[in-house]
Amino acid sequence: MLIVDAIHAAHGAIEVLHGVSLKVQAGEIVTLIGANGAGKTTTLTCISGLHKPKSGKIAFEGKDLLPLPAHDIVHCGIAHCPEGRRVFPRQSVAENLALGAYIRNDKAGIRQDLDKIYSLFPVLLERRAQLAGTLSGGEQQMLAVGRAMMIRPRLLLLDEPSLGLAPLIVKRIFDVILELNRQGTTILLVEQNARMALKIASRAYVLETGSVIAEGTGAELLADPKVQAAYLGDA
Amino acid sequence: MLDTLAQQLLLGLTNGMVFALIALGYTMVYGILEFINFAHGDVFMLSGFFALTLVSVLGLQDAQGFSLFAQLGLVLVLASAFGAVVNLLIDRLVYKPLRKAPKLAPLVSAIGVSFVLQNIGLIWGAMPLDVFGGGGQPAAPKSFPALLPTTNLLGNSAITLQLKDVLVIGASLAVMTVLYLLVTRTKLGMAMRATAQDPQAARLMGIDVDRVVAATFLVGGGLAGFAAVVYALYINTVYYQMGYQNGLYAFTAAVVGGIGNIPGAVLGGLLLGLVRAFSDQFIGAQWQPAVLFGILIVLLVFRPSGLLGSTAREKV
Amino acid sequence: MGSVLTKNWKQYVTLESLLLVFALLYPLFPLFDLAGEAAGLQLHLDQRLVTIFIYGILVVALNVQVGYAGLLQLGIAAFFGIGAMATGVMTVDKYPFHFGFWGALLCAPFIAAVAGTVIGAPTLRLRGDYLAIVTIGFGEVLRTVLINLENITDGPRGLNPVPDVWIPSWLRDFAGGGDAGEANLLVMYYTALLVLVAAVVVLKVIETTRVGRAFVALREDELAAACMGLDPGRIKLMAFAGGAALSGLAGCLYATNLTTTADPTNYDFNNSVMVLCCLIIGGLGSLRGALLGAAMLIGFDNVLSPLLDRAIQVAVGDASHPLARFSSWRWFLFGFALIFMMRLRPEGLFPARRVAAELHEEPEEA
Repeated sequence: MLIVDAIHAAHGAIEVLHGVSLKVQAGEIVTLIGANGAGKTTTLTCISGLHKPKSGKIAFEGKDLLPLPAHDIVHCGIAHCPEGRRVFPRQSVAENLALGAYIRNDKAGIRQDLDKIYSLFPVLLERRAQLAGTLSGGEQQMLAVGRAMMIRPRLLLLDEPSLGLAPLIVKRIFDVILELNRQGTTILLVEQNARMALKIASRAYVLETGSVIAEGTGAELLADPKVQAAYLGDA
Repeated sequence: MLDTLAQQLLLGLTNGMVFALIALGYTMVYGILEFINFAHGDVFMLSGFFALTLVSVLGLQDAQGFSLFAQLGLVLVLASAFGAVVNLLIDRLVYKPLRKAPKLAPLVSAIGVSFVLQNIGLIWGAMPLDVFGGGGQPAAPKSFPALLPTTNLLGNSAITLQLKDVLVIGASLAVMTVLYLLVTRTKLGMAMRATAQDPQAARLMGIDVDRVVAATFLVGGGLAGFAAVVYALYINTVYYQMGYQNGLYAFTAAVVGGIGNIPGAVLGGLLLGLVRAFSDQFIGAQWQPAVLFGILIVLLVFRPSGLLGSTAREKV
Repeated sequence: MGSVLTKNWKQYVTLESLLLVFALLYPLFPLFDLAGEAAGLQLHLDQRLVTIFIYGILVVALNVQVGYAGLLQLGIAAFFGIGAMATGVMTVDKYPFHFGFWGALLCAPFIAAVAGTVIGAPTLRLRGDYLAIVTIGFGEVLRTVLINLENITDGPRGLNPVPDVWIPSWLRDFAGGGDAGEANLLVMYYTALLVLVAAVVVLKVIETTRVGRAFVALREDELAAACMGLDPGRIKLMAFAGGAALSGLAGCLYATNLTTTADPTNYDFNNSVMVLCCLIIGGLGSLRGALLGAAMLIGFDNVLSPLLDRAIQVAVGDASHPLARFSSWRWFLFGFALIFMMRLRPEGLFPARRVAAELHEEPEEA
């Protein structure tokens, strides 16, 4: 579904990605784990079009994404839930979700998806008139995911959804991620919380200072002693 | 005394409406780009010259009754369109290439654009048209014909309410209502509000930020064009520097209300118009700039976010 | 051998050598003037250069605020005016002070610096574009106040007569060869040049001290500078007041040159922008750039502009049409110059290397 082929990306003069390649098949949950500064977010921003790589190829369902601006890539069916949530603070929860549906015109479908999201995240329904800027971190994360899902994407890019959140909320969000995948959304998940990510992933890649140093199924990497030592905090 | 107060109130309101219309243009562009379009006041000025030229071409000085109002409406529409297009052109040609440049570059460029536009106004005033006094004195103010009857609608009352007062207030309110609906009820308005808060996140919603910026310049310029006609009808003058001072005052109004805040711009405009009217009456018109800018400075020192709160994104 | 020389030509065109050249060239000016008259130009080089020196000080002053400290200052003319007014008040008969030129020269910058501190202290913490508006506003307030307080400032006429530069009479006779007018010109010229050189030297020294490095740190990353123990507020205020002081100095020279404090409209926004143009086009952050910018623009305005006026009128054959004057197209030219500069070379023609680097950094994405 998504093929990322040898992308090199730089921030100014500093090269951040040194030939990263990965693949996502339809229906999978693929996770990209690694430490801070490894280049995980840059990988996602290259896919969603917020950042242009210096070289390499990115193709989604056969379509070359590189020449497209970010707003056109959304039209292709990719939604990016960015690092730090980035909800629109002065809009209400409901308005944020409505913004997710910006590119859509099917009123019935939008209504349906809205109900689905409210059922997955009941707290959003409760707070639907509240300004997004006043929500807690966990609520904002749920809103960000819900907003991205309102795009009705075929591929959902999630950037560190667990960052800064309490374990219970993280669990809830990961449950929802699994549920979304079950309902048909392919997921590319970037995470620092390697354990939770590897547990739900079909396949995974490990990114270290801009290069992929390991790949395999979630189970394989969970069991790999090198990964355990570096990222899972096991003895 | 009460009559004087009431008269000043009316004057303040009508002036305030013009300030508000121009302030809206400043505030909308600032909200989206965090950029003070110094040349905005001069777009207002050029639209005024355009309107005067139109009036001359259409021969509106001799028109009466319904024909007069219909053609006046046409002038309003065309001048607004003119302002919109000029504003957009300036953005595309000058500001857009500098989107990623440090703040100094677009600010200084805007000053440059302001100079260029003022010079264009000067040259426009040299056109050999009757309305420009034959074009012999390009720098002199041109008188805009008094197209509306000046009879006092309140009869013999000590307070004068003319048709043009009603027109200024009514037309301005109508335009502001349309703007309000645009920003709150349409998809474009939704996109504008999202872009103003977080352009990158807006892109991720599929919003074409570049088009939103263009639309903002169009709307802002259109408001300036509309304000120019209203202003010219009311003050009966256009002059090549009318953009500079009114522009600064209007920007002050936008800051007073909270830069980036659309209702704030309206409130700020009205407040400034009222302050100006009362200051002129009770302190003297020669102190006007000192009073108005003094207020600006004090406000920025104690409450930089303005009365209704600014939308400026805080730099970390 | 030749290529080595030409490659490093810039290092030979140092400030000092340039200023030395101007000091030595004075006796030759009558020759230049004659040549100019032959070309139809009223050059009056000695007077023009005094204006350039004075504006040079102004541009250098603005450079301290904009180039060193990164503040968006659009109202430098206000401090220029304060300096001139202070000089007027301290020297004319109307007031009891009678400090004379040198006294005024010492006090005017101080007064301007105080004004700078008063306006700067509460406002310098504002974000860049707001500060720009505040500086414009302050300029307008000052201009209005100066115009309207006629009994203090004598309105458009200005306080006069502001006395000439005081030097012992034997020196004056020597300088002018008996001609008082000649003497005045010469003394004014060398005084202005001297003050300019002094200002430049002081700033060059400051650039190498801790203060100079503090400015750099402030520009590069205010937050980091604060974490290093530098107080951004104080540094900015120092720069602002310092620039104000230098502007006041220029104002004193200006009033002395004109022998009047002149029309307050000389101290308005247009003038401030003109000075900013000189700095922007000449080069941000560097003294050389600031001076060259002043020379170019003021020279352009005072020399080239009348020449072009004449040329256009000759070409068009109609001296009476308002558009046939170059001055009608002047703002066009300035405007486009600013626009193109910002587009192609925002750091100016001869900027400080560091500032040029800062202005060409790759922007970070959100």
